[in-house]
Amino acid sequence: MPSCGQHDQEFALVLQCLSGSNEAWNVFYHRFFRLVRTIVVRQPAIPREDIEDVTQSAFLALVKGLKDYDGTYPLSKFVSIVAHRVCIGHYRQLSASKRSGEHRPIRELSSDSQEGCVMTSANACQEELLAREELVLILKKSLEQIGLRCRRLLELRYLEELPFGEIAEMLGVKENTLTVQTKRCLEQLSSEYAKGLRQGVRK
Amino acid sequence: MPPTPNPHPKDLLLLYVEGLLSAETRTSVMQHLAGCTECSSEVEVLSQTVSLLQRNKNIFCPEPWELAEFAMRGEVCSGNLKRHIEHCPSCAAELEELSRPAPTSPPSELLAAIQKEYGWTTQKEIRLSLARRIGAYAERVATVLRMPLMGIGAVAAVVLVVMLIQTLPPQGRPVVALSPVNWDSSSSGLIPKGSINLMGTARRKPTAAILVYFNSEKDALSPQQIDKLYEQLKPEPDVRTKVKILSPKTIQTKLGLAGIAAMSRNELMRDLQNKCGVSLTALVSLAKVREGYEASIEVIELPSQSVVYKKQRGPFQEAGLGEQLRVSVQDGLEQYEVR
Repeated sequence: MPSCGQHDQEFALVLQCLSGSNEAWNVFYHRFFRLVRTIVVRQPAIPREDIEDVTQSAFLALVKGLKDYDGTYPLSKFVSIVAHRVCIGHYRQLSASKRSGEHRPIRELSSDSQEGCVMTSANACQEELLAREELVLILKKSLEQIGLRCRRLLELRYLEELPFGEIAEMLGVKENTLTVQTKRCLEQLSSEYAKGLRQGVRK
Repeated sequence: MPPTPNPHPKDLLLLYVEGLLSAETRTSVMQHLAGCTECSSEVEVLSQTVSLLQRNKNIFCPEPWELAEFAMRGEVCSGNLKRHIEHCPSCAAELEELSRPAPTSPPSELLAAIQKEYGWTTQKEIRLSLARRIGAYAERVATVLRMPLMGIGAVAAVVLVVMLIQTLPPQGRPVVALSPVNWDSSSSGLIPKGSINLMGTARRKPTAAILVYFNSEKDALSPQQIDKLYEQLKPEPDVRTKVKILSPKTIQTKLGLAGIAAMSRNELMRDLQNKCGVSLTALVSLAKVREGYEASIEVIELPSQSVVYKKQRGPFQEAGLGEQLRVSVQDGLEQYEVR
């Protein structure tokens, strides 16, 4: 079974793709099609009817950009970054075309939104979703800053919703100690989030 | 009035925010909060943060690429990912989506873009392209010379013969021997298993190739003998942990060539570097003599093309040639490591 940090085989695949081997491109496309599509589908700002086109654009960008992959991190991460950029680029194009007066159909209900918000236009919904996504990104970045133990602790408490007693038992600490630790983690997270809001994630 | 032993109930504030205090303690904390701005602001920060986490549980979710890695590699690289997926329906659904079968080849538009960017190197494409080019060339010649249709065939045949003469390696020209031998049968053959460092430092090791080179095409062994030679040249695991050595099959695939290929030494070094990412080559040059084969083993550092190890060996009989040469090849590669 392949091990962590083992990107040599992926780097070899990239070299084969760059040398123009169509077999290697078949392997590349087969391996990353689902990932690229998932990233595109995850973007709230991409209209559903554009998903296939954006997926295709992401692969076109990968064809041109694959030479920049240096094998120091997983190829799937590289693919993911490129796909993200293509999604952002597509959204900017959409926004620009709207500003220049091109007609877009009005959608009354965004089925992509978890809250099922009623919208007067697709543009407004997308703006709102993007703004929300921005805040979530800042929060996620803040979570990455607070250390693995804190992340684990907050995940057990606020994602899995385990009682403090159960978590304390799991981690081998007293319940009182655990609540104090959780409080500190939340304070750290709050501080990082405030810092993130000031700086902004996407410059 | 005696001082309160614990004026600020800091340890209770989180439990207060989460509504986990008994009614009596809650009342006591509330009374304290009413007169303490420090604790009130802490409560405000805590409740905002808890609320953020409760409303945005997806921040704990891995990125799609991490799920894709999990789908591909399993638990090895995932940390607590498995547990997360068990508790997160959206990640479980995404993992299912990522694991669904994908198309096996790109759509035509993408194929065209790839072809434009990199060109194809499959033998079938090359043959088709060659045939098309010969046909077109013959047609142009026939048009210029105002020849009848039958003449086109004749011109095409002449062009084909001329091109074959040009592409076939002439007697006496140096050739490189390529082989489909895979030194690591358990993997996909892209990289030998022994070259992989579990700590992820494999990229820092030099990537090496071991190649057999005949100074003259007429000295070349048969394909079966070449395969056997490469099998015997398979390096020992201890060398393969120090230097990343590409399998002959990998080199053949990356160069897009097979069998014996006419190639100058400079061309070979350039292609090894550019197409295979090789930075070190162990080149076994063989020349036929009356008693068998004389060998020159060189370890060449790319891109400077400086020879860091050179040894003349032989003559050797064909049988067991690889066994005799393997020691020198390993010696050369190991010495490079010592430098």
